[in-house]
Amino acid sequence: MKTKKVKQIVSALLCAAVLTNVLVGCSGGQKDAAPASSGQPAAQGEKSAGAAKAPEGARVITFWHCMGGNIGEAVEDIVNDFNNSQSEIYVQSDFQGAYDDALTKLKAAMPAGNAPDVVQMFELGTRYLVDSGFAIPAEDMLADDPAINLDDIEPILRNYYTVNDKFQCIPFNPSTPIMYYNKTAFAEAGLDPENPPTTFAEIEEIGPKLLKKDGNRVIQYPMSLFIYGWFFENFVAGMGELYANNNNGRTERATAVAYDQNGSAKTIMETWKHLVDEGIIVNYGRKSDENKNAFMSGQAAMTFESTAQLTAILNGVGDRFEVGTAYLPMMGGKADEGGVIIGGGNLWLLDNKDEQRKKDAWEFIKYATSPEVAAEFSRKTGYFCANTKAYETEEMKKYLEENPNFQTAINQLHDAPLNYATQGASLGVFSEIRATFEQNMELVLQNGQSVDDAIAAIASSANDAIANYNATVK
Amino acid sequence: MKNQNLLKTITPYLYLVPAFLLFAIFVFFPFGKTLYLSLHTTDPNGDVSFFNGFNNYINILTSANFMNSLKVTFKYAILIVAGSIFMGLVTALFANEKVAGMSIFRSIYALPMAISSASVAIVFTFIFHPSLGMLNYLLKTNIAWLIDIKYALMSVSIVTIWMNIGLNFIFILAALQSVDSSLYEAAAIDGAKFLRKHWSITLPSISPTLFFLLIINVINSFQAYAQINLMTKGGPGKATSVIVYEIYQEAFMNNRFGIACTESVILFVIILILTLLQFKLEKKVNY
Repeated sequence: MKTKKVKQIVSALLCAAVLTNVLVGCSGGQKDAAPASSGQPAAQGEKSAGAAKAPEGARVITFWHCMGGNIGEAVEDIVNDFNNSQSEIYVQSDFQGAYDDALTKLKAAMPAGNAPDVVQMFELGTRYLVDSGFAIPAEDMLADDPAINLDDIEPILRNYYTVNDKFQCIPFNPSTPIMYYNKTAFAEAGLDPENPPTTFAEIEEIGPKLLKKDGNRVIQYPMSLFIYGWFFENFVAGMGELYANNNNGRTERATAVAYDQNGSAKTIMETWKHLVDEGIIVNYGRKSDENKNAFMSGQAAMTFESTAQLTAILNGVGDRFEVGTAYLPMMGGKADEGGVIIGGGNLWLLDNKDEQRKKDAWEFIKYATSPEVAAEFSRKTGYFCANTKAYETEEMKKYLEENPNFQTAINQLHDAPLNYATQGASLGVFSEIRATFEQNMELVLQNGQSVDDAIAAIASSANDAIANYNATVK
Repeated sequence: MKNQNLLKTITPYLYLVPAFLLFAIFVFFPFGKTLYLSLHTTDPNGDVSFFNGFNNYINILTSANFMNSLKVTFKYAILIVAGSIFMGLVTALFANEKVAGMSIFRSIYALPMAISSASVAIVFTFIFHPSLGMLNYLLKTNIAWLIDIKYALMSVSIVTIWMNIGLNFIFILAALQSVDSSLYEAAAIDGAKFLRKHWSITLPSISPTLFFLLIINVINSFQAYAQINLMTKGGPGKATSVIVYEIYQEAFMNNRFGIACTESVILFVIILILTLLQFKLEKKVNY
């Protein structure tokens, strides 16, 4: 009798064991995430680096980056050139997926002691990395080794990455959104290809002329736009408004978002929705690739994308039509005080409690952001050069003259005024807030939710997340 | 005498020790940790920040977000389980006919099983592209399959069903081949037609397999993640945000491990209840 009961218990436990596989993903995965996930990209990195091995006696440092495709190759070129340029330090580069994925892995790796020596991280990771205590501020390194003159860094970048009164990281691949448009389609529609729209009102005005239909089927939309929180942040800044309180979290830690209070969110979401309803903007969901493909195949005459996509878009379009680039059209408001916010990636030096590795990693960062290397990377991709000295190199001057499309983003950046609005918000939970915006915006565009409800939902979820973050970070 | 009896009782358990040790490390410990974390609030590194009692549970069970993801998960599971078992059955019945070249069809039907869900998701994303995709081109429609709220869940379900057909097909085909052929002969003599034959003979004969597939498919559909993450990221809005995707978001994007663990515990309870219900159903199965 007793044994039967025991048997029952044992079999129940075994059943539970099978079922609990569901749960293991959560708490177990948290600690496992780092080693498990670094395995696959490591293999990739090896392959792209030509299966090169560290030379005998070289000190190895690790570098995580987030660039795939043609940009990833450009990053690998920098790493290979650095490795070949000397024999003491060997940089092992690992592609870690998109910025968000890499940040997720980093969050697991840092406390577990598996962090890389150098990591490329996008602007939204800034507050988290500063708060984590693992990052060594670049300004501390520059104090001992003034290899880079901070006055040479683009002021807007210096502005953005100065947190707690210290310049935190070395910008590597800065970018802003710009407008891409199809000059050929503009000419066909009787519009001036050299005079693209600069505001959403102008987009609405010229939109109908760019619509081409074959029966009921649209073969060319005036504009395509994917739902991306980055655009929203830029539109807020373009109106000269703040995204978060306490001057975008720059004077004191932000405790709430501000766009619901200052009216910018309402204007932006209503304008965006209006143009979608009018059939001027076609909604491609949240994925940048689908949006880009539509533009490159000529199905949309205008779109917004990062400057970093310039080379990829020019190559993708080929000679099917002529591509133009222009400043990001804005939505009114205090336009004089507004402008684009800087985005893109930076190189962060992480503290692995080893002086030698720290020095070696710093050498690599200096090399990768030096004017000549940065200028070449910029030409290969479309990213800016963070170090203004790069623009003074002969090759870069010549290149910009021949390829005026590359100049657009640089001018746009220099035209943006320097203030709290364009400095962008400093928040520890930015990824989450961005995702919440995207989900709710999607519902608004598909009439699943009113603009006011969406703003209330986004703001309350964002404020909860900020409060939660502030409560757990001491 | 007494000692010998004791030994007899203990010996079988000793054999279980190695397996149990592994379970303890990889299943019971994480399970316990999950329960523990579900009662706490964590900092962005996943370390416990403070004890939170049942607040996580209360917050989740009253949150519209989580209720939505429950609803989506159930809808998704029903579509997947019904769709994939039905398609598996149809393809298996077809492949069980003795026609020349059938082995080629058998391989083709089982093929989806060999492809990773990530690749499938990527390929179908291209097929579903609103303006460049093959599907709209062939159907002469203009539907945003993965972007429109009305279609997104259905589109993802179709892809998942397609992925699941292979496994269901193989199990059902194997079961079909072990059905006693004398039963069919007797039915033929009695003048049974196609539907009658399968309803009265085939289905009861393969019911143990169908029961097994039911459990596997339910658990699989509740754990769907890769295709959701790659095809819709839970969107549009939250239309395809199934429970596992919600857990992933909370844990790894939002760094709220406490909340994520609470959601996992709730998912565990749901699957447990469903499995118990299914074992009640088992009494109707013929062995």
